[in-house]
Amino acid sequence: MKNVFETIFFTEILQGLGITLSHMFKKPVTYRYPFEATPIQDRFRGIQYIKTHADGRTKCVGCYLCQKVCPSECIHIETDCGPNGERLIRKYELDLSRCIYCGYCEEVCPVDAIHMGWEWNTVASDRSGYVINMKTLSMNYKDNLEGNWKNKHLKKKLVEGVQQ
Amino acid sequence: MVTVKIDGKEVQVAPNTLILDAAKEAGVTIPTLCHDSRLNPFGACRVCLVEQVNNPKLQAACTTPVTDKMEIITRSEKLSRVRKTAIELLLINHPLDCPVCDKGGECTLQDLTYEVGVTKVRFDAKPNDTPVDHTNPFIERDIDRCVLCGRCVRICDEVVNIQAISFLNRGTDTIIGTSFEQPWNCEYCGQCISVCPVGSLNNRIYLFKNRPWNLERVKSVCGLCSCGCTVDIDYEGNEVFRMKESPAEGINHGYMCAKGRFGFEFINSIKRQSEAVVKAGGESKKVSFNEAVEVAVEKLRKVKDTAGADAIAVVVSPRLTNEEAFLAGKLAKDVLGTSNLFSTESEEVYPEATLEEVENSDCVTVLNIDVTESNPILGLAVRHAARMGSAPLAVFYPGYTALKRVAKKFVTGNPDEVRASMESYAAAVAGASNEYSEWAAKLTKAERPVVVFDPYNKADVKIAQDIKKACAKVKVVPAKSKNNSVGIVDMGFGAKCATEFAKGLESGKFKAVVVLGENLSARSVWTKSASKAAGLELLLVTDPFMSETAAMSNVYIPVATFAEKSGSFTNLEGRVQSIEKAVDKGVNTDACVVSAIAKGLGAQLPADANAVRGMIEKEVPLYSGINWDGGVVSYPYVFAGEVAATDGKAKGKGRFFLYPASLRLHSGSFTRWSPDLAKVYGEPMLEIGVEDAKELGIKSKDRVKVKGEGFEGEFLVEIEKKVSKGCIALPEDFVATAGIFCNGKSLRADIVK
Amino acid sequence: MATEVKETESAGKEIDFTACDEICEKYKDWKGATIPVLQQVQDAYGYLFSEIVERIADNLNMSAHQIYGVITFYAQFYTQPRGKYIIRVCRGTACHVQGSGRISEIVNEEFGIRNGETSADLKFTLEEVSCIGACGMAPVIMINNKTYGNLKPEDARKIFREYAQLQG
Repeated sequence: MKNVFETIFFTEILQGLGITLSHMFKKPVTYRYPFEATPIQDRFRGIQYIKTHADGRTKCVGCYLCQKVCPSECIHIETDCGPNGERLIRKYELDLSRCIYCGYCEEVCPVDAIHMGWEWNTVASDRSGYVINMKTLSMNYKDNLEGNWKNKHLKKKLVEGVQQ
Repeated sequence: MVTVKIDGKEVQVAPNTLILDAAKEAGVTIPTLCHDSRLNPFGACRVCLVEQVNNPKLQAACTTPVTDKMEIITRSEKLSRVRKTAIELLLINHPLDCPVCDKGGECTLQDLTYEVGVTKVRFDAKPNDTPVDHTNPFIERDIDRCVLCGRCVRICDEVVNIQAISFLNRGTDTIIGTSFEQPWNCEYCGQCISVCPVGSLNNRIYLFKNRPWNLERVKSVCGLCSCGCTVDIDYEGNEVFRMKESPAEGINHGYMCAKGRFGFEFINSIKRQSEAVVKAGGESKKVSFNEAVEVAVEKLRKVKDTAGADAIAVVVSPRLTNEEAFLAGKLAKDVLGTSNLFSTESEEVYPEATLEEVENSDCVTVLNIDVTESNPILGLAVRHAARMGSAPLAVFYPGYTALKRVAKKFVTGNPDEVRASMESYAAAVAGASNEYSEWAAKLTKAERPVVVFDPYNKADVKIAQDIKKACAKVKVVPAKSKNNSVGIVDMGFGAKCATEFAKGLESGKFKAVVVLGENLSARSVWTKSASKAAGLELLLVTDPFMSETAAMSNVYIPVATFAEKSGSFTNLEGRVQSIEKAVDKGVNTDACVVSAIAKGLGAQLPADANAVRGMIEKEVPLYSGINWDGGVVSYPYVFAGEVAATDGKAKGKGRFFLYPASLRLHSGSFTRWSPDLAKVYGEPMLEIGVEDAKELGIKSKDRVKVKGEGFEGEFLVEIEKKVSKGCIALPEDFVATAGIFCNGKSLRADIVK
Repeated sequence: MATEVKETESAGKEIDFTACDEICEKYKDWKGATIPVLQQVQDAYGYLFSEIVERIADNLNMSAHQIYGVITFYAQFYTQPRGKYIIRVCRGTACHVQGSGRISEIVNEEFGIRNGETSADLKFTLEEVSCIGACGMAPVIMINNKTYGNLKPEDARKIFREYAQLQG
């Protein structure tokens, strides 16, 4: 008897239409990427940055621990002895196309230099752009300090990129 | 034998064995920090403390000998607490700068800290902050990191016997340092670096260049002097980062010298050539390896057809491996059909005593050679015999050497006086009664006497032979100079006298000369005629560097150094040892060059070391069935025949006696390409005594002219306390000095300001 | 500071090594003679400076660094010149309580020297010692072999001035 009633008056379809109708007045949960950026959580692991001292010198001492711990072998370091017998970082390269953003480098760093940042956009037109060096990593730190990454920098850059 | 029980395992050991060694026998490891089995027990660190059953006191395993029925416990709750505290106490003053410390990754203190589980130091950390000492050109000294285990001081005292560093002050102020905080000057052997358990003493050549876990390691044999030390070559990719001792291995027991430890950088030198050069019509052109070989083959064929095979000569350097020298001989004899095989070496003298025999000798005599500089590891063996075995050591040398401190008798004077003394010593051994009779008696009465001499000095060879003849049990050590000086002779390059080649060049007999690795201009026997080689139909030179001879050549082919090839060297004992290829610098080996030339001439010669070894075993009787990894060749004789008595008197006229100085770090021929050795000793220096310098009014670093009969040259002055009055000395193998010593080994000269 | 002046003076001068050589000759073949040699050489030359240590090392066939290690180990050897009068100020418990610190300060005020230093005119050396066994007379000082006890700061100053006015 009930079945007949439901069959005649399409109650299930109306129920379904009701849900659809109610969603029409709710805020959408999706983001209009690339015109809109997703919010980034505090513990998000994005492109690394390396902290600098107040005078601009890098905090990194070139101990090779991040290179050793990196599971995808994306970090390459070359060090040498400086003119005054100090430890000198000749080359610090991080290949973002290899990086799996595991964050081990951040964890192993004994001098609190390398950190995982919030930037995640690595779009580049060729592969060489994925290899970033100490200069870029230090710049990233500055960007991070200024909050660029978490807020405007990200949005602005993204939209610019798409418009191009 | 006594029975001891270690952690429940019973072992039988000799009485007076240390607990540590007994534990090793039982298969139990006891952690140590200050202990080194090559040094006397010290017991400074208290890390090796063990419990003895029924003894309330803990014992240091590295200093306590075992007694019968002793029961030892090496792991217990109490012990781990004690060890942990010992490490924690060390960490009070030790800065925790492992990330920047070069020792990180191979540091004993680091390992122990992990092992005993120190995560936090309970005491107030008071790391020192003294500036790092860079006064030593090869060794960085950071006394803050020092844990005062005393290994460096002890090895410098007990093994090297230079005592360049010592414990200073007392108690908590103790540091390792030099007298009156003088700059640290020593032999630069770097033994102290090799034993430092922390990063207090570091190798400045390797400093901060890499990390131990990145490096791959290959065990090889050092290719510099003729001692034949077993070394570890640490490399990453195609770059050699350091040469390091193989701990307690090889004939060198893990000791090395400045040359081996710090002189390897020539392998990575930017001055290394990578392309072959062919000169035609005054124009030099860079060509490929195959093209260069083609040119050489064509010219060889032309000379052979027009002037005959006798117009071709092959010269090899003692830097080649046995396999390469054998191939070069094959090429000359079988393919080219010439018997003109030359090298600076001769088969007049063959090795006899091994380094072990020198160490265990009970009477050592050193004739007119500074072994501590020319063959440092042989020098260590002599010192070991004189100090540990307390063998009476007699040294004859114009001027004091580092052996002075251990020698019971040191005869100095001008070269003529020294020669006369050596002659009367030899006569005394033969039975004559003179002032040396007492010393000769020591030699004749000894059971295992050893005589070290310079095989390149005819007059010295004569004296050594006289001694050997008078006293048959004497074992002689001809201190050959280069890594394969002995091996190339075995491969047939010692039969002809080196002067014959010079004569051939002068007379124009040779039209084509193949020079494998040799630098004619830097060899005193050839330097005068070297310029004649420039005008030859073919001068083929293979060398890793553009040497003076290579610059004269019309075909130059760059080749590999000892770290880039496999093969074997025969050291001064006659011991054949294998070398391993570590890196590839993109150049061919001498073996490839020889094999390619042979192929061009229509013959087949293998370039592979193993294949060549099979041929050597078949064709060289001395090497048949030899163990290529440490086998000693048994030579038929020591001295080829009666050495003609030569007048060893100094030639010429002049106020000063001029003799070849002991090498300072390097001889100037090959190792001068090492930037680090060259930094310390870049050009030949004229050594002069303090008194003479004062009389002439010469100061250190002045430039003076040395003039003698038939030679002249200007050199930097180095004032040396050890040089005798009336003597001056110059190193021998530099291009600038080879022209002087071609006149003789002992000369007279004047100094003109 | 005072010693630097002395060193530059001695650098220009020729040093007479005969006394040193004689002492070394006497002990040449002895084993364990380093300390008596150093003691006697120090008696002859006043203190052990680098040239004399080098000379001893050459004569005894030893390393100067090893000898320097011995010298710095023992308190009885000095590598700096010493004053004619050695002021030993007791800094033991009893003297400390009685204010011996003030006496050290007075030495500094008078001669400008601190513990272990020597005045520029090579007259006074100040040494602070742990106890000289005269606690009953605290605070106590010794000048060479003469002992002065129960000192008040101004007494001490008077004594020092007396010594300073002595010929020398």
